[in-house]
Amino acid sequence: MNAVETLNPTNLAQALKAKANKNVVAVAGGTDLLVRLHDRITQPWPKLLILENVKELHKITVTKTAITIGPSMTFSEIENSAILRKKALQLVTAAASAGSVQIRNRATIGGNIANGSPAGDTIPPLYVLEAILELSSAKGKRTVPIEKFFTGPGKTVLKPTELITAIKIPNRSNHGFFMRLATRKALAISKVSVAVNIIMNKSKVESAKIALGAVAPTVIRATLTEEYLRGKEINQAIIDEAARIVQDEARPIDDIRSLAIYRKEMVGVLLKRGLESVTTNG
Amino acid sequence: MADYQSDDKCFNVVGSRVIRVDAVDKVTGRAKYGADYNALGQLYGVSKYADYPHAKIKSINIAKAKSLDGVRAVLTHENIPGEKSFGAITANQMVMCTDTVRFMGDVVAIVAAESQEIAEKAADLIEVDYDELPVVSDPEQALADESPRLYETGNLCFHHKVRKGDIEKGFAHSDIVVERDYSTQRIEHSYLEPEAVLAEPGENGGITIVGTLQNLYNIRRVVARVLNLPLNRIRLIQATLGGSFGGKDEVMSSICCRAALLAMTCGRPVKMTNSREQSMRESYKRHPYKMKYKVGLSKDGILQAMEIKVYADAGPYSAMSPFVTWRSVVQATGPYIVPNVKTDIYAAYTNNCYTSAMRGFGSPQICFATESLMDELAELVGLDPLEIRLKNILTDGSTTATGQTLNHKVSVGEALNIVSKKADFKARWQENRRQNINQVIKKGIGLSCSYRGVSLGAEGTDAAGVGISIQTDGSVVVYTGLVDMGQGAATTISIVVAEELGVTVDRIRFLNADTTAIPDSGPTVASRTSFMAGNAAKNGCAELLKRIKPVAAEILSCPESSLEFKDNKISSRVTNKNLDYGELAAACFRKGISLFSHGWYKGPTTTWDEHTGQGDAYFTFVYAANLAEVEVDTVTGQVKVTRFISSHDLGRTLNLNGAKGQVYGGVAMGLGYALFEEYGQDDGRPLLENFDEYLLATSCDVPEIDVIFIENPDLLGPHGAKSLGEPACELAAPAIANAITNATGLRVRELPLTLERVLLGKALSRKETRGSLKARSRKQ
Amino acid sequence: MIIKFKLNGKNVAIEAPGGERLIDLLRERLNLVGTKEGCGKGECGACTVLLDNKPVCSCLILAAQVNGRNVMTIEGVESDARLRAVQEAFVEAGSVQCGFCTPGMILSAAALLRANPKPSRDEIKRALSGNLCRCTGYEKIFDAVELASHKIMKKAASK
Repeated sequence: MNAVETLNPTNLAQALKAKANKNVVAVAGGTDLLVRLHDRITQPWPKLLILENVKELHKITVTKTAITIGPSMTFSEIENSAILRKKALQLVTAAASAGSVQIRNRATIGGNIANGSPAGDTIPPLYVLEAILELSSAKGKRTVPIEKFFTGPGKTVLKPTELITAIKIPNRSNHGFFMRLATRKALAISKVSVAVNIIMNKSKVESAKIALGAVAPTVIRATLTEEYLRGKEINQAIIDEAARIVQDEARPIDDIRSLAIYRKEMVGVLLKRGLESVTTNG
Repeated sequence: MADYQSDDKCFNVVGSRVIRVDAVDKVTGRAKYGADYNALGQLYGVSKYADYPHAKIKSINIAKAKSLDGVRAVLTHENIPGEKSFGAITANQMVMCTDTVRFMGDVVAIVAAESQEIAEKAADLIEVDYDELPVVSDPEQALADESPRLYETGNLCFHHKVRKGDIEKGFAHSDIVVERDYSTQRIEHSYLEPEAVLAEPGENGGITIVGTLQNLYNIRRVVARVLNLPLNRIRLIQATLGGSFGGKDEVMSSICCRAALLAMTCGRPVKMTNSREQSMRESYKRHPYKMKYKVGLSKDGILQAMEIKVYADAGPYSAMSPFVTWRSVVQATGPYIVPNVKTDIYAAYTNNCYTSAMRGFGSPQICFATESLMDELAELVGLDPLEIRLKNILTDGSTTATGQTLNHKVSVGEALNIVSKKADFKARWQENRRQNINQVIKKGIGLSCSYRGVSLGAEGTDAAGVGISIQTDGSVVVYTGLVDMGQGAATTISIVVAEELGVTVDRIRFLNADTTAIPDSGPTVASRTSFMAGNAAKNGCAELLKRIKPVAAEILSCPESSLEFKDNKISSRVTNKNLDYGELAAACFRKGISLFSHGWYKGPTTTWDEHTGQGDAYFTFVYAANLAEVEVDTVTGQVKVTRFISSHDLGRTLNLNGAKGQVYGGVAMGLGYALFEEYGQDDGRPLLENFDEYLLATSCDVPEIDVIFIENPDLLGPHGAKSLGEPACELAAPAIANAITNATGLRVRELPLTLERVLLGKALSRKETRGSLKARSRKQ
Repeated sequence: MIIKFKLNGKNVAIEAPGGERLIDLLRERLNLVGTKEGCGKGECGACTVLLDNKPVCSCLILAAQVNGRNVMTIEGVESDARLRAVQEAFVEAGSVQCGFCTPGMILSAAALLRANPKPSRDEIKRALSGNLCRCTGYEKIFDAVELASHKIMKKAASK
């Protein structure tokens, strides 16, 4: 066993101080890190920072305008959060369908973001919820919108001395959904996923946000489709056209999980089904 | 719940719900599996795998690896004292490669070190210089003259044929002649427990190996030849097996040889444990088949002729391929009467992962083809799937494609009728076609049926032994050379012994197999264990009873014929006295009567003419029918199996709980074969290596399963029992495929029936598309 | 670092090298080999243990992460009357075949029944979907969980 120094801080200040050493690797749940270690994508780390016991990172706080999710919140906790069920159904659905019970009990939302995995199911919902990430270091903090956080597959703007310390989403109701397709019913990685957030103004779409997972090197926003839906009254013809447009926005590839041609078509199908359910459910 | 179609013979233990003999150990975590064994001072062994699917080895440099701190040995083929390759028919499987690597799971060197990490690091430091060779990846193309060769003698591993009647005449007499091609994928056994052994050099210059061993005697023969030791110096002990499904045979021979070589070299125990990645890389798989059927039939749906050509992908090693494809050639026409047959099955060498035995053993592929085909033929002649099957089905006295007359109760038609009736198949099949129009979620129902030869058949000598030892307190120890790999053999054999001796199952202790304790009983394969070991156990018990009955009669002062052995007591129907089993055993012991017997059973004779492919291939057959109901999302291609019915004539249910478990598990495995599983390879390189991408059915994917047993006791089987383990998994895929076609009207002739295939149909699931899958960069 | 945690009801203090996985600590150093490793990356559930009563994969957790917490492995189940009912149900319902998935399956089932003593079949399926089984087709495992639920409810009612 390689000698590894383990740091086990109990408050954020300690954690940030420890992280000032850029050779320190932070671990939240560990479900991604240990898989990467197993796959030998990551080499054993010299210094390990366990975030488990940093209380500040493990809670949800609600104000009138914002919901702040601590990055150490597990998928299970997100799945069972009453406020998120009300205000961020996309995120709840995605968290509830990821991995297995065992994984959801450990995997954290912060870890999912920090690792920038294209298969991270919680990312598309965070895109459409326009999440703002708070990145902190011993020297201070900054905020970055989630779309600016990712720079490529597995690549992010997070500096080696920084930690994600909060994920902020607006405290606002929305018509939204998260839909995915996978081969199996459980323990499944998405072939394609679609997250949508629609704000209605009376009967018209005030704004629509659509994010697509697993159809490009990173999660992407379907801006043309969003633009198309803005100001429209949703009916079947509009839904069908939106489903057509969104297919053109997807840029999928063939890989072991699916075929590009299939993924392209399914992006449209999922959007269509989601929009239909949103309209029938009022 | 299992329903029964049965006669009403009475048993005390047979057929009742018996608690599995190993259940308590397994629920408490006390059962010891291969990786749970450790020895003081053990070293850790690791294999260095090939870097290419096909390459000449120019040089192997072990210097750096050897000089690493903590490394105790680095060995290559040069350190093998005996034979360097092995194989049941053709000895071409390399323990460690000499001059060529032929698949990505080949091993070029092995390391023993003080820790697993050091051993792995050392394996990474071994430098191998290769010259790449062209890769052969398609079994049909492998046999073309212009194909690159794996061996100087060419790429043909084996060719089996069956010739019956005159197919030209048959086709001439047919109103309709059609050709259909089907193909199946390479799948992984996916026993949840990866391979693990602990090899300890022992006294007398021998070696003891405990581990995940399915066929101990095969493995022992290999280890003996490779190490150049007599058989009696090699002791193999089976650890509790975490599943095998045919999979822990040749791969274990190879691993045992490596661990033994390292242990002998270092004079210390060596433990070798595969990770899942290593397991998937080097362990053999189920053969992918390409099957070409040309069929002639009359316009009323009677089969006239079948011409069948099958290409099986053997990978680089012969292994069990000749036997697997032999079962396929015998059963290639399905359970139907076909007067004119010409079947050719070729197993070809490729640089894909090698293939060998897996539960089903050459039948799941054939069943997918024949059962898809029958539905297609029904459509052509305007019959429903049940009608066309019943018109052609084998019945009592029918002659099979190999010319064998079935002189027992042939119940495949009965099984078909049972499952059809239970689900109202005919009406539902028609109704679905009418009601599905304009529906996005379409419903489907599908049938499949099979006949299957019991045990090894003309593959080889068929015999087994069981040792039974009554202890002086009336408890019993039982052991056999056939193993419990999770399927429940320990319980089933214990039940037979309990029934025969009149003890309860909880008084029996079943020992795991140990090569020094019992003669070679052949392999635990071919669903032969209940039949062979069951008969051997019966013989052994009969011998014991012959010895102890007179003593019991003497003690109870009654005639032997009035004795009843039941529930650990011996009573007499004429006197009112009874005797505890322990008292009887102790009395026998005092009299110097042996309380040990060794029951032996040799299977009935089978015949085979390899030139004509005619003969009595198997001494008896089992029959089955399955039915699947599905819902297909026709917009996404997603298939949900909503209901499953599986009916099997197993002769006699010995172990009701075990039998049902076999069927449930077999159906789930078949469902994975139908919908999810594929060990994809691109130009010989594996596309995946763990369960994140090799998808097994989860608890959310299995439907409700109805099991219906039919009991037509076999004259030869123990209490009439035949077999079940393999037939349970061979029929799910075609039943599901047929149900999907009933729903969508589209026929997919390739497995697995992924969302993409179901939605986009055949055109886009061809090889070009699959071939475009990008090879991912792999770790070493 | 020295970690202190509760293991199967008993306090343990042991040096944990920083990179060590919980499963290796359990199997290699504490000789609790009832926890099985099937895949090493959280896809099969054979290594499931309970961490503060919740099922987790011990292959995806560092030993250092369980400091101060409560870990239950299959070896600790027998001493807990409630959990023992799950083991008994697995035996009685005939849910065991090769047994390699069984310890993890029992711990997942036990966690479910603690949170939800009377689960529906769908809830059972979902709760066990992180535990792969290659032998049983799951059918009798569902039966066992239902039987265990029945036993636990009966026991609770008779109190």
